[in-house]
Amino acid sequence: MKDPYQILGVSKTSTQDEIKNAYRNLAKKFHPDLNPGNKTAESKFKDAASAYEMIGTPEARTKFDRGETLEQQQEQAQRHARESQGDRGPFYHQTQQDGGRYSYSFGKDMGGEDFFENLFRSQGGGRGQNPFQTDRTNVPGEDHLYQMSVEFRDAILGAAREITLPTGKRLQVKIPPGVETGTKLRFKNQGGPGIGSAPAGDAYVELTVKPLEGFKRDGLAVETEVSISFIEALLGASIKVPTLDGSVLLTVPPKVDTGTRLRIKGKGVSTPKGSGDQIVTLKVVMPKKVDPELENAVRGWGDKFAYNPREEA
Amino acid sequence: MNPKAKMPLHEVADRSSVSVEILVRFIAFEWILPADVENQLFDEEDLARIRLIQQLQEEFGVNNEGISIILHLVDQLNRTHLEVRSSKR
Repeated sequence: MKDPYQILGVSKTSTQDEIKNAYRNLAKKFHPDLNPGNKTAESKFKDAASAYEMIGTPEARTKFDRGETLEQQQEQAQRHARESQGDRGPFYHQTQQDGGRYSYSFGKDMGGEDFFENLFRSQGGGRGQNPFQTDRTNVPGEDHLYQMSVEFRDAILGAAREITLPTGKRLQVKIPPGVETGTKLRFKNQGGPGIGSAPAGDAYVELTVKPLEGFKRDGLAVETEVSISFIEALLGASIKVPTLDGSVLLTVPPKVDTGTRLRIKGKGVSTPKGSGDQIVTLKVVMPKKVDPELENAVRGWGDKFAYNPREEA
Repeated sequence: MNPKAKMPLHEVADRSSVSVEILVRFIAFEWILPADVENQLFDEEDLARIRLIQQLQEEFGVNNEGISIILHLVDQLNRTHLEVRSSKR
């Protein structure tokens, strides 16, 4: 068990700042990523890290000075540090030993060019500008994505709504007609702030269209189903049909069946690229209660007007 | 963990204890190039590099310019090591 004071090269009377500086100096000198493959440096770095763990904070140091840090704990800390970076996973250079992406890109980027020329032209580990230029800190803000539910009617006809962002900022959202689930609306410069003089990022609002009972969308068309009586089906009628912007009168021609599709012009989705209609599918429905008089009358017609709809005409 | 396994930004933030905002800056500075750029997915290499950057900044007090240079040198060092090792084989 090594003495942490000795490892860090400080005395028992050194201040916390002196201990911190001593650790920093050793860590900088022996950091395994700055000395890849150098086992001695790695071992010294790990010793310094475990020593700093023992006396790096006033609490840990007091405990150690009082002899309260058990020998077993000290050895465990040292072993822990020796085996890895504690819970922090492998050192960076260990991920590059078999040709990591970054080292590979470095080789590719460098080609046969002059190293220093490339260094001073690069930004970070990649490609870019001179790191010493002040405008290198001009980084556009990040884009933010928000979710928003819209009513079926608003998605078809369009609407103006307001949402409050998590930042408290209010955003006026103009929903154009014809949006669908997954449509993203972009709000320029409403995202995260830019760094330096770079612009803010954009905000995107992703829409989810709520279903509306009785209405479905198929491309530019809006599909609905309307029930009619068998008398209306036989004789035709003018019936009131709901559309997304109010009811309209629909003329049902005589002799229609369940499944007959009628079109209401211009009541579908209207976009600059084109507009659709509302398609009404008829459903012939028997009365809930059949009046005995009606039943008798039909029974009387039965023989005269009988037909078999299961046979081809 | 499988070194080739990919993880999303929030998981890298959790595992490295670096906030998502700071990680976005690391990417903007081109210090980190996600393993899967299109889907913003990261691997163990990215995570280890993030930890190195964090250590350089917080423990050693290196500023942004310094980080850029150190990463460049570290990549050069690793590349050189790789080449030396493969030339010996």
